[in-house]
Amino acid sequence: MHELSIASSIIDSLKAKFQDERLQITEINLQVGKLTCLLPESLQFCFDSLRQDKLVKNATLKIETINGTGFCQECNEKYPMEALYTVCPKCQTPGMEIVQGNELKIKSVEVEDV
Amino acid sequence: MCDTCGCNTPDNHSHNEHDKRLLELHEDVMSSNEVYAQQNREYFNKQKIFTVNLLSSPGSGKTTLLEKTIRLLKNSVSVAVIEGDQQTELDADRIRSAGANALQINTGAGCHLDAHQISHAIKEIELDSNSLLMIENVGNLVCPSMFNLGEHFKVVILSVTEGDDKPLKYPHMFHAADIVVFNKTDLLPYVDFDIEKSQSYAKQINPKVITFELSAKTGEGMTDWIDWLKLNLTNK
Repeated sequence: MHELSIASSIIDSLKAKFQDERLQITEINLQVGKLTCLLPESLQFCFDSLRQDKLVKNATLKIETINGTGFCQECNEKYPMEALYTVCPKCQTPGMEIVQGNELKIKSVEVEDV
Repeated sequence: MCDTCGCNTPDNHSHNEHDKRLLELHEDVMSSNEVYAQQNREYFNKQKIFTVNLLSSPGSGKTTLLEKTIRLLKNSVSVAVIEGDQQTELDADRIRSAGANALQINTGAGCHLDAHQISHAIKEIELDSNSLLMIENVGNLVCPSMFNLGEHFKVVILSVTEGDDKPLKYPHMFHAADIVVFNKTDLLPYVDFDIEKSQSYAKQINPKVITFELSAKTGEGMTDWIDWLKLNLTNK
C-alpha cells in the first residue's frame, strides 16, 4: 500500500509550501502516469483517510491519468506504451525509453484565503 | 461549523468563487525522497561504500544470500547490513551471527524503506570507509521499486520456487532492477521454473539487466556473484 506514503508525501509537501500562509486548498490537481505502479482509486482512498490537516481538509483530489509513450532507439520513433513490457510495435525491440507515463506531479492547487 | 455554507471549517473563509485562485506548482511528489537519496549517494561515494539494495518477495532467500555473502567476504572487506522488516529483530540477529554489523529498521505498517529512513540509519550504524553496505528491503515486489535509497545498484532476487512469469507480473520492480539474482537453483529439478524464459521476460522489460543464477544454500553459482561484488568494491 505505497499509495499511503505517496498520499502522505503530497500532504506534507503542500503543508511545507503553504504553512505560513492564511489559505486553504480547495482542489489538488495531480498527474499520475499510467506506467507508475500507483492505483488512482487507492491514492484517492488514502488521501481521504489522511486529510485531517485544515489546509487540505476540504480539498478535492483530482487525478489526471497520463498515458504512456515510449521511444524506440532503433526506429527513432515514439509509440504508445501500455505497459513497461511493451515492445516496439514496429521492430519488436524491447526496453523502449519512457518519455511519458512516469509522472507523479502536483500540477496545480486551487486555493482560497481564510 | 461555518454559519454561511455549513461546511466544517470556521466561518471566516471565502464564499465567493472568484476569490479562489489556481497556483501552478508542477512539483514532483517523489522529490523529497530523491533529495535524501542524493545525499545518501554522496555520502556513500565520499566514504567509498559500495551499496546495494536487495529487493524481492518474502521468502526468496534474501537473508540466506546475505549470510553466505558475508561469510565469503568478511575476511577481505568490512560488511554492514541495514535490515528492513515490518516487525522483529530476527534478521539482524542472523546477520550479526554471520559476522557483519547490522541495524534493523522496523517499518511497522510500512511496506518499503525510504531514503529518509536510510539517512538516519547510516548515522546510527557504524560504517567503515571502503566497505560494502547491503540494504535488505521489506519483502515486497511492488512498493519498494518506487523509492530510491541512494544505492549504487538495485538487486532483485527471484527464487525458482516462485513463478517464472514474475517479471511480467511485477514489471515495475524488474524495470527498476540493475541485477536479477535467480536463487534456490538447487530446487530446479523439483519445480516448473524455466530460467531462460524468466530471463527473457526480465530483459523484455529491462534489456540492460545483469543476471546471476545461484543457490545461496548449497553455494552453487556464488562465485560469480561474489566476483561481481569484489569488482565493484575495487572500482569504488
